[in-house]
Amino acid sequence: MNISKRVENSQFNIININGHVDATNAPQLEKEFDSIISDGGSKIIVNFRDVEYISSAGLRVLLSVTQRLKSKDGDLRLCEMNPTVEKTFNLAGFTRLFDIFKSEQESLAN
Amino acid sequence: MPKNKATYHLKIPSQTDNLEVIREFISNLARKAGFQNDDVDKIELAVDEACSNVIKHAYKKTDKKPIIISVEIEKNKFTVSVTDHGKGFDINKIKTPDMKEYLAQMRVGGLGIYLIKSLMDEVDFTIEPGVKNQVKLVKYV
Repeated sequence: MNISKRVENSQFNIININGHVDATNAPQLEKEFDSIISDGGSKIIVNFRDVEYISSAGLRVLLSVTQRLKSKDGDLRLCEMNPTVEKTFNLAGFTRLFDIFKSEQESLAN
Repeated sequence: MPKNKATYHLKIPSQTDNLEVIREFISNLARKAGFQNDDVDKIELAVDEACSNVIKHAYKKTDKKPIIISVEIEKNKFTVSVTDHGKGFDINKIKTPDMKEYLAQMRVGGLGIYLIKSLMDEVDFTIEPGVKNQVKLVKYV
């Protein structure tokens, strides 16, 4: 898994993940979120365009982050999921818990 | 798909680094059994969850204890058994998470097992702590 980060519109921290998110690398993903939140970031967008697979270890990290951001009046937005990853969110009932957008543009605009 | 029953085994150290190898082993056999991508993905995720549970809970992240994965391919049935010799758990004490409660409380356990049950047709646990714990996952072709 590779992660890259950038800031858009001076308020949105965008994380691009590339590869598989499982119990091996979920802690690394959590650290990336920790670093954004400890630097004061409260609006985070995760672009899933290059994510081929996510297990519950990754879902737990996202759940924990959304909870932390809500307490800071921020939010976590997810976008550009492929059907396999979206199915995992559906199975876990997680589509109801997250703001999921088709494109990064949409997630920035809403 | 094999004409009669075919059995395959993988014995692998309980390290998260090995999850990718396990997923590849399972997805290749699921394709061989005749599953389409959608079901291959479900079986792969269910086995990942079962093995992650073993690494995290049964062996408490102690490296190099064995996880034994056996796959049986029959005419219409695909069975994966994940066996460990670590600390077991009481399946009856694992609550199915309520998703609203999940968000409110953060990190309620049981998500992995909830997913496994949603993904497979049959799930059966045999728990003998320290002796042999086994989860049997079945999907019909």
